[in-house]
Amino acid sequence: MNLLPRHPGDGSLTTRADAFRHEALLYAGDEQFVSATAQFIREGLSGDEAVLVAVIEPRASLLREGLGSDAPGVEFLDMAEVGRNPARIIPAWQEWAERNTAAGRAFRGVGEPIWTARTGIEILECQQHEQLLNTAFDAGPAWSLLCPYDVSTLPPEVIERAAHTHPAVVTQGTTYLSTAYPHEDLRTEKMLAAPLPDAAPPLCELWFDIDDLSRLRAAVHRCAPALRLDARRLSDFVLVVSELAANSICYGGGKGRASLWREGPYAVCEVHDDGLITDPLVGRHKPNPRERIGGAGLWTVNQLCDLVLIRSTKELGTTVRAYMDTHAELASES
Amino acid sequence: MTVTRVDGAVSGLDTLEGGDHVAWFLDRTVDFATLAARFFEQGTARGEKLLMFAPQRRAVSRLPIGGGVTVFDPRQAFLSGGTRAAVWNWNERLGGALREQTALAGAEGYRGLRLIVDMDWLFDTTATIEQVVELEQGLDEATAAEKAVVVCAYRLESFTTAEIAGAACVHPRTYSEAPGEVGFRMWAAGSNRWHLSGEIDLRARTIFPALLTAAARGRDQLRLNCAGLEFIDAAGTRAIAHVARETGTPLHLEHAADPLRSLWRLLGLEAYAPTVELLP
Repeated sequence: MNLLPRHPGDGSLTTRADAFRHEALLYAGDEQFVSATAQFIREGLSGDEAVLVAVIEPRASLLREGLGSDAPGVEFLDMAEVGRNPARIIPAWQEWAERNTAAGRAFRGVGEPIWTARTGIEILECQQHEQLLNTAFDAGPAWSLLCPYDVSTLPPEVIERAAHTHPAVVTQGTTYLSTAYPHEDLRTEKMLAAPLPDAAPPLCELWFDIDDLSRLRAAVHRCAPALRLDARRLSDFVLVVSELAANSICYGGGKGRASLWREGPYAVCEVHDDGLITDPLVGRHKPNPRERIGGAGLWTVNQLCDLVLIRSTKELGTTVRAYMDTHAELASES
Repeated sequence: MTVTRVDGAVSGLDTLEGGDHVAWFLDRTVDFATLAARFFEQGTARGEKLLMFAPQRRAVSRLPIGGGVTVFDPRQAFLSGGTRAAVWNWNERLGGALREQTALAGAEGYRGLRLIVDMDWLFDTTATIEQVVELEQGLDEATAAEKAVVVCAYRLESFTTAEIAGAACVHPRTYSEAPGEVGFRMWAAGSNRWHLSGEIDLRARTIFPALLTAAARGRDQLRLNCAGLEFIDAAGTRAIAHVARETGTPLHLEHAADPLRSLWRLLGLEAYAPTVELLP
């Protein structure tokens, strides 16, 4: 890992940020997690900063316990919920930043988007999310976001990547500047050109234009049993497919191709068109209700799905693949 | 007051009931005169007054029905010969004309009113598609209230595909297929009450806000029965919020299904349009 000790004038982990400070915290095991994050949190509280912690259980409970009487002053978000689709994490931080900026209060956060139960493709999306945090907040208000990585359970390449997506890395109480940041692999064009995982054979494949939207939704209904979608998930999935197709019609050359398949616990839909997406944060901006056109389709898809992969190049056009986990619903029915 | 009506395609003009408002799309091969005559003959048999709104230039004498049909050119009779640009409340005037004629028919001893509107009367009026649907809404409300039988004949060669599609969605019933069908219908179910049915997606992006705005403008409140709404996308959902804010009219969405309610929340519309009430 390419790290340099932070120069004395750069300040330490716990001082108030004068710009967006995005740092990876490398820890080994729960004890180190609690002690390092609690220190970061207490420094914030002592400076009257608002603090939001977005981690999974049991670490949230362990941290609450470790914070003791300081815990009630800290807001917690369940990362398993808000980060189930990594594309929903940035909007959560944006909401937090806007709320505190409006209140004139300094703020900081702890966010752990990657844990061992994440699948490979989820981890890849989380790494893109970590990179996009810089894009989303570098020009915004000053605040500190500490992203814990458990070196005792996560693969070494994931830890290595943390230094590519964070300008600084904190380990064993010392903050280092990452010389590997920013990383070539994580340029917007490269992220949008990353290969998609292999697709399963489709249950259904349809070319569409504006006159086929109704037919496309009917096809999703017909495939529902094979996609293992219950009634509620089906209506969400129909909306997802329809919104993606509408985007292709509006921005992707007026037509596209939709494919549906079942993969692991997911119902999957993929929509391909000839358009080009250049905004890496597309679908992560909460749409302005005043807007009439645009901005709501991919946002809605991100809110309803558990994983959304967006790939777009001049040569190959745009492909959006949306995964909806049907496992929980089916399990609860049985 | 709620009026019970049904929507959907009809297979002919000879099975219509009071309150039916039909968009009839006809190409050049259709024998308008014969079908119109048959439609009117049924009205005669039922004791209904027969009425036709048609452009002056289309001589009603060409219809093989003899006398008994009262004909108006709406432009001359109700609109002072004006263009749409010069007359603000066409919809009220046309609906008002239907109401007046129904009252007159009652006074004359008829059991109801049966009307064909030859939409070619709109020629040279510079009416936009939004204005045509607004006018149709006024007619639809009056048709529902008066339980008249109204058929609006749209000759396909006289209108653009977009106009035909717009006309289709403001009639509860259609006869023969409309090119460029938009996928949803919005029709009157009583005073300030409307039914939404079908699917609201990209195809409805222009016409749905226009329809909703026309129905909401100047009203104390509007009730939208969404029981027949099979699908609505994010843009359509946002359009409801926009109309509520822009017209200032509180909207009550009845039978709003879970997907619509959850979309409303996901798009952050509760705070933006608090005068919209989504009812189960």
